[in-house]
Amino acid sequence: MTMRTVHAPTRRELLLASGTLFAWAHLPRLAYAEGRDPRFLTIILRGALDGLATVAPVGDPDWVALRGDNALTLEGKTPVLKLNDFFALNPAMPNLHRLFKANQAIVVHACATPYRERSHFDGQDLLESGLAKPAPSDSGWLNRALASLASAGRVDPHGSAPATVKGGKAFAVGPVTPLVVRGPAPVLSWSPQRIQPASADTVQRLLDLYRHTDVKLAGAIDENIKLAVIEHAGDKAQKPGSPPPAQVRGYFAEAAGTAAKFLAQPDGPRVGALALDGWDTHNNEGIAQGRLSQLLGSLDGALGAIETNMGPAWRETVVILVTEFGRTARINGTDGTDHGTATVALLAGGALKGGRVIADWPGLKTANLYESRDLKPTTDLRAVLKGLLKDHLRADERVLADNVFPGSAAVKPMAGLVG
Amino acid sequence: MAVQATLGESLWRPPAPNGWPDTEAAWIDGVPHRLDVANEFAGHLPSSDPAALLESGLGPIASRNTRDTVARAESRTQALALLVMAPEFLRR
Repeated sequence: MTMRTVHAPTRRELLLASGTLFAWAHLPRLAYAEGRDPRFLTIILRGALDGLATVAPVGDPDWVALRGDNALTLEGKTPVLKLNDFFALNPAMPNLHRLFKANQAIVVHACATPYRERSHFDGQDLLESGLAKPAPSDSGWLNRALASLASAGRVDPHGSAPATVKGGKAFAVGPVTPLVVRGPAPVLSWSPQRIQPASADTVQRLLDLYRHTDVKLAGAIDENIKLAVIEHAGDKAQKPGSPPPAQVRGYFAEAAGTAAKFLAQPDGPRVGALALDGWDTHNNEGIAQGRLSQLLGSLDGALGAIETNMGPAWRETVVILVTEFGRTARINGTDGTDHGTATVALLAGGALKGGRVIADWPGLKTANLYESRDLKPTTDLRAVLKGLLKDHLRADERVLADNVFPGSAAVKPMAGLVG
Repeated sequence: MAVQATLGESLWRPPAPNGWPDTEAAWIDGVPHRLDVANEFAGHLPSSDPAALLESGLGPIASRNTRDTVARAESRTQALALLVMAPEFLRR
């Protein structure tokens, strides 16, 4: 089921669950010829990240009126982390703030894919396929970009990379592979052999369903949650088993950190992708304290783990965090936000020309909101992705316009993100 | 095999001479584990359409609650896991 995983995973690796890494084990030739050895990691945040709660427009005069008590402000109980005079970062993300101050992070705001409906499934398909409209696709933009890159040779046929990464036999594209890396380029996958426990969010949704339909089943799930909470009370070390919310932090850091370890190897893969779930915050969003705060804190820890594990390769690294769409500008009746449109894309890495928030800010007055309810998209996410693929990996601009993001010639690659 | 062990029924290792219990209580105990297995299988399915699977698997017997839960899932994988764990799927 886990496809030719050839080394016995350690206990910690077993906890990675859906943090499975998919990677391309070639050196991009053009970049290599320039004396660079770029690393590129794409992290998909499934469920739709609330961009306004992640990077708050504290300088917008309509901001506080829009979100009320849920608006992050400079004077709030938990002070936000100031990025510039207009934008501030959620207090749960000190690592990203530090990287931003060190010119190693970029925030792109009011940014969206071309998708304008509100379905997670279609939105994720479009985010990963790179198509302009929802349509069936059997390949993703990252894979098609890799397929177009000339290779300076396979990295590590026999070297010292972890056992799973070397050798032709470890190359496999199985049905588990997320769409973004599916396609013609051979991609290796690394995933734990043990079965992955359902996420706390999935358990909660099932519990809600059972409470409405089947009380006995609800009781069974409820008991199990309570047992897990007791088992992990005061327990900082991770144990195999159903991860309660407190374990998300460790899990994100492990997943991303392991990906970085592979990418950091001199003879390891150079381009990777993984997905982190749980961002669909309809109820009790917990922006300053609570669910989203914990998730963002976990993501921040994951960025820290990537930086640490990359070692010297960090200066040649770009990590991009993307999500299918944003969330409604206003808070809903259950202290959460519903499916929206524009959001943030977060970039981190030593190869970036960082320390900038890139935004053509649309404003927050009702007339400025998309369909009077969402942050209006003013930057096409494809421009950001094309800019990185072109300048970091040296993908060809025409191939990017015709093949990687078909029909996107009018969406110019964003210049100057790296260098 | 790992899946069987997770479900509490390791191959060739029944807990008592009369085999696996078939009472409702014993079955209910396995539900949380079954969710982990459902989650795992859902992650290994090629991008299938949860709505279509709901129609072909449950059709008219799917409750409004189940339909909404599946449709509102945050990803296809989560939708599939929730679908096969729906009461209509488990109790038939």
